[in-house]
Amino acid sequence: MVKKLFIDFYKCVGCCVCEIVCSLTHEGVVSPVLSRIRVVSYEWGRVPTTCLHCGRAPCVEVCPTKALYVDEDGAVMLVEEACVGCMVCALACPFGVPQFNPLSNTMLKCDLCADRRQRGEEPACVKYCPTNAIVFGDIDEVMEHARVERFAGRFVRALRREARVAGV
Amino acid sequence: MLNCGYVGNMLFVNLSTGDIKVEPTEKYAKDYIGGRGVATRILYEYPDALIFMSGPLTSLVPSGSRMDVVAVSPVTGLIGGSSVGGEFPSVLKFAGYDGVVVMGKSEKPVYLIIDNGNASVENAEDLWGLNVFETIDTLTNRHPGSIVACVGRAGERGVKFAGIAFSYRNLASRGGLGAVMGSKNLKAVVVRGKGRVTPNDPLKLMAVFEEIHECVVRSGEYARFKDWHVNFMPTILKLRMPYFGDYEPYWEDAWEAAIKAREFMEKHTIGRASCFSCPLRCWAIVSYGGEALPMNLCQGTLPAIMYVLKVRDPELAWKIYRKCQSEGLDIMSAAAVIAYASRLGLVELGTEQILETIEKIISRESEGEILAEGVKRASEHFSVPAIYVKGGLESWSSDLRLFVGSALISAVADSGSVNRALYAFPEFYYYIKRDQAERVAKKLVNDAEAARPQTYTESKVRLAVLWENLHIIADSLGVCIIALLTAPLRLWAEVYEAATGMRIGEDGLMRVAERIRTLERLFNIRYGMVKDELPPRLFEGKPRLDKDKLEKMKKTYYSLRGWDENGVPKEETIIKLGLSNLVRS
Repeated sequence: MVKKLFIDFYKCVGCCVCEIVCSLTHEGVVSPVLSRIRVVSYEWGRVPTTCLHCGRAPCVEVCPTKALYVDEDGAVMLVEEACVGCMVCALACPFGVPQFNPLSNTMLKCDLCADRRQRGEEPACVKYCPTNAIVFGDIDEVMEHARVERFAGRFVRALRREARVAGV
Repeated sequence: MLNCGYVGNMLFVNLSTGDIKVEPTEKYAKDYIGGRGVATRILYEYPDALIFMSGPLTSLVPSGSRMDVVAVSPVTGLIGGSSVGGEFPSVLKFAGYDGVVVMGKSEKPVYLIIDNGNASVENAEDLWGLNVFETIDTLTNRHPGSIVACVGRAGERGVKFAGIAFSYRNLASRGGLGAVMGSKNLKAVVVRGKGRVTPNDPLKLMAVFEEIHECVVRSGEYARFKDWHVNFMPTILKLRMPYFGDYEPYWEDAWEAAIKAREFMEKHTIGRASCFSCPLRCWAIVSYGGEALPMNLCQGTLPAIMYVLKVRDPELAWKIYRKCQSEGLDIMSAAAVIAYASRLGLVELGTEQILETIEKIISRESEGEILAEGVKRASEHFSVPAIYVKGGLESWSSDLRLFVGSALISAVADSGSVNRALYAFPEFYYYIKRDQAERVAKKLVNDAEAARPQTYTESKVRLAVLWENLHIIADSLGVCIIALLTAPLRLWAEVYEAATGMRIGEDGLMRVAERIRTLERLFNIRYGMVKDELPPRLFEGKPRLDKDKLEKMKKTYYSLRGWDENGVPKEETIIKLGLSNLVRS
């Protein structure tokens, strides 16, 4: 199964640490606009948005220079040398994820930290997220975990509380 | 060349002449790190300035979200400072400046906009009279993607406890800095930035980042803040011994109020949030009355309102909170002033009258005119003694008589009181975590007695000096003190080196802290010597402080700082700290 990034919006506190470590990892600087994961605000909610590495990625299909491809881990990758910065991928993306990088005149998108993956490490945003709101894994694993935490965990805790109140 | 960690430039704006110039940060940062240190140094040169200064670690490390705001406080006439977080400090750096120094005074209301390196002064006549929330909304609509720092009506009208709002939530509240900004006719500072901050060694930075991050998320603070929005009212009652009304040690309804507040927060909190780069999530997003607002879960917000103003009803407390926040008032001081007014029979605590009094203070109507001047001037006017700390700043919301360490700092501090020196001081958690408090005191000053709130020991002075230094380091690096205390100082020295490329070490940080502290004292001696004294009421009645023993602690404090027995830095100290050129100029 393909490993991807999943964001738990219940846990995220909008601290932007993912933006900091992403831009540090890829560019060696701290700059939210150069981060591949972007924390966006909607009213008082702040949540990270990033490439979802779609199974049938529209960006890959529309890219006129074949600068985008899917690697062996299922990550949608960008070959910067081939990218002409036409932004068609951003228009095609259902979530508007790819960004334009004014420094290089090419696009900017998440590569699931290719260098870190090669070393057997998880992506930087996952590693550094203080509330573990960003997880890296295959969907079954992640959802199993969520089911345990959100469903069973809540249920068991509630039962225990009831038992305590009843003096059981 | 200082081009790592810092962005390298500071903006100097003269509102009298309209001149805008750029100076290299390097000129000041070498000896004073940044933030509080650099701001103090610049104020020494330009005493009429209002200075916003980030630190070398702002936006680069966990909880590196802060900047220091410094100016002469209109309440005390001494140096006044306040540390502030949120997004503004980081965005200022992304906009290309480490700090902003505002000098002079504009004839008409203006605001300053800094947009990706370009700065200009714009007309703000249409904004004058708007409150903080309205100003932020208007300006973010006008300049999409920007972050706004502004004053509300309280700042415009020179209310002596007006703060500067950096968002709906973040306020540089203490010391009346909003009145300084208002007196310059500066309504707002708007920043928009898409730039970057370059660390000297990104790989090393990430490695230390990880270590600090581990320390923060393993800390008691991180665990406590998980349910802090629910627990903070009862915990502060048990832990911090807040005073009630006009400095009464007891209020029979306190526990009931705390429990009601807990229920209110449980019911109305819809989320948690953090400042830029901070894992600690100390804000609650509270949805009440058809509106969601962020709130800092701090002793100076809801607890100050409920305990000091004896408000049993959390819904009324929330309305008061919203009122103060939307007008940009320092809640700690506003509560102290209103509680004092209740002693004069001008307002009944715990009722809607509080809201009316706040409105009177902001609009300076009838007795509001006097109350807006702060508690000390009001007490001189009405000839009824009040409680305040050095220079007339309103007391911190805990009862100073029960915490000797905080009483000492309230008497000797030079740039604001306890808030600038003693976060998480061992005596503050002694009542619920005695073992831990004693362990910390034993480890740091080799005397567990120093942790006990009611002792007057020499070791407690040493602990207070150390704590004050740590605050100065945090405020100068641009890091939140809560996070700084969770990780060893060694790591902060390492991360400073990774960010800036300059080696400093723990001792180096401490030395700079000493330099900054003595410079604060020298500033106050030069521009507004006020005696290190507390008002007589703290030494009378029950509970009370022991004046002689406190005097003795003060002398110990001076000698630890290298000052003479009158609190004046000795010549040798000035030379040792490398301040002689500055002082003689």
